[in-house]
Amino acid sequence: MGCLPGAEVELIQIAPLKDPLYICVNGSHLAIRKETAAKIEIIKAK
Amino acid sequence: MSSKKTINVALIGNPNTGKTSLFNQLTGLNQKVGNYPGVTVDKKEGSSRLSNKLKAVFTDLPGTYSINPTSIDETIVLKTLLNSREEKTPDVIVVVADVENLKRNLLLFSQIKDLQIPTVLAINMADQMKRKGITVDLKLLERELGSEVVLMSIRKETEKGIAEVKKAIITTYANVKAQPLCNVNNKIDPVFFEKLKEINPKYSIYELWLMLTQNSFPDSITKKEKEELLAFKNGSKNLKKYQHKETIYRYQKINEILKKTYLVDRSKASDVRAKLDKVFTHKIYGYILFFAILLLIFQSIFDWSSLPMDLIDNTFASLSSYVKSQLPLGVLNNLISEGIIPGIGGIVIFIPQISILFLFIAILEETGYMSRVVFLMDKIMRRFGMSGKSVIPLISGTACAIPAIMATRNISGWKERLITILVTPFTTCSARLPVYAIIIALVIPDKKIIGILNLQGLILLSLYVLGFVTAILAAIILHKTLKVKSTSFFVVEMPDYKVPSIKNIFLNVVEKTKTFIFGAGKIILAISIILWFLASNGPQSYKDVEKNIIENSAHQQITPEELNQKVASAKLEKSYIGIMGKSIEPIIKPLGYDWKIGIALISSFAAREVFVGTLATIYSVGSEDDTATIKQRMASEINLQTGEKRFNLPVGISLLVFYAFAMQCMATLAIVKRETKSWKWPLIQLFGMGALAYICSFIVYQLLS
Repeated sequence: MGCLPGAEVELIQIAPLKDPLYICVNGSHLAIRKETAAKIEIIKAK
Repeated sequence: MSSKKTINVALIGNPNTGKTSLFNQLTGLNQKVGNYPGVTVDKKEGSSRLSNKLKAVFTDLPGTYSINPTSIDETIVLKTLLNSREEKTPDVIVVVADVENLKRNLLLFSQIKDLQIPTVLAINMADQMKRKGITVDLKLLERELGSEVVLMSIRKETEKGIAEVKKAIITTYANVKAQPLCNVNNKIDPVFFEKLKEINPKYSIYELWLMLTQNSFPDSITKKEKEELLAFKNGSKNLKKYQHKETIYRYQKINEILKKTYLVDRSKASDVRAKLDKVFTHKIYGYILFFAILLLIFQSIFDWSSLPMDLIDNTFASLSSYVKSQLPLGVLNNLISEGIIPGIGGIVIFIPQISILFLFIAILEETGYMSRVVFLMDKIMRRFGMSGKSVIPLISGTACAIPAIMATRNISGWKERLITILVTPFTTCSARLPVYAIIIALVIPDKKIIGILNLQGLILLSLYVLGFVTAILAAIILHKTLKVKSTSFFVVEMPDYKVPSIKNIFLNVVEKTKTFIFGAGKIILAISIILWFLASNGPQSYKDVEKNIIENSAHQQITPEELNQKVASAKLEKSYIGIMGKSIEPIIKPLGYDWKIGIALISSFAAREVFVGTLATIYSVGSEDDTATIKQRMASEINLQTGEKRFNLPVGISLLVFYAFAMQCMATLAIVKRETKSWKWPLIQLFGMGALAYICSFIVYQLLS
């Protein structure tokens, strides 16, 4: 769903019980669980 | 002049792009819902005229993100595409995309282009472009993609959008030549794909590649060809790596194209989404709002539906007596007035509640709010072995378990989905409601407690709570005991908030209500007729009973009216159904039931709501006063042993508990069998829930009486 190497990931919000995460990748707004999110390697932007 | 022609057009697109809106606008009420062969996914088709000479049959394919399927719905899309060389398969495909998520939408588009099917790209929600600061170079985009591209906003400028889509379909159909977009094979491993092509020249490389990696095959493939392909698959090691490369390459290509044609100026964007999300997914307000909405839904279901339901009940009662008085006496008269009319009434009475509930669910889904609920509830539901997506089936279950269980399909973890399917029938469906309503009206006094709360309403509410709590407890037990291996992959799209389209909601409600009426309704009507037959026929003793009673009563002072009643009840006792009810009486006596309730219980195992209909049939067989409502008849029923009312408090509560827990719906069992592909799970439901119901009703009755 667009979460590919080189894409920009923005963390928009964390759900009230600390899981799932609400993110924006490549312009798509998605909610994913932490276990899935753990598989995304990120480097800090800015 | 060429003659009139019909072509097939398939609509395909990511979820939440307005694909179904476009379909609804193109076809209106001119649609029918069927099933894809072998699976239970709905197949929606509708027709529309494109021009004087050209007509189109549109198919609304299930929403999908790519043609690499992760669910049954998506598998259907791939199957349809792989079969595209055969007849009655799409001549033209319209890919519906959403202007804000164009990049992601184009992945699917690029895959379809590579299958070399003539394709139109319809970019929806163009009215949002200004607000989001988006500009699109349409001419250049068309050239880059090699397809007709339409910019439309189907909600706002409906007529214009439809006209342009139709025009694009006609143009695309006329220039049949379809070029692939990405030629992936050259970019990954040309040698590998050359070998793949040699295996079977009948299909294109990309088709073979899809068969290989997605394990899905067109109908035209022979067994031998399939074996050759599978042998090749076992001999190749790098499939996974190649798939990654394919996706990455596709996005590279898409990015290249969009860089030239698609511009977003973030400074011009004003974001309503962020503001609304702050409220709807807030750690306190979010939950308060969700429960307030739930409360509003349930409140409305009862408030709005009570009037039409009473009206339907009374109308069918008077229709019955009218027909009885007008038609010549005989079997046909009885069949219609005592079997068919009450049977149809028993189905029609559900329509108000079911359609109101579907209305609310449709609104919540259309506005994009449902995804926020999934987001809020996921962590909580996971403690019970379910997923945030289980919330929708559990809420839908309060209308009917059948669409609810079908709605579990988008839960991707098998264990989470299975648990949701197994516990959904505990939620209080609308078929239980007439049973609850009539028993509560009979045994619970209509009075207010603490000044404002209506006692009857409170009991009803607690039955709903009981259903939900039991569902959750059952889920916890299943979560701890079920040894099912499954990996869950949880991704939920959070769509933009939208003002719902009235037409979409209307069509959605009509479609779901129709599915219920024709699915469950058929069973209910059939059973009503069988019951009428069983209640008005019997072995030899049934035929003698009338004569015996009249002879025995000859010496007594008795009015003709009383005599008639005596005959009627004696006849019922000796009928086939009376015999059935009597034979289970010893088993159900500890729960407080007699053989008449036994008859209703037996018939309820087909569908719960038949309970009321059965009692109506039982008490209307031979009754003089056909306009009396079922409730009045039940209230006047006396327990012959105690001289008390048959439906007193202990019996009533015991019945309520029984109906809350027992799995008494054949249609649901059939759906569970289809969805789990085994008899194991529906049988576990039937016996597990049945045992729970029996034990709890037994305890309740013994404690109260």
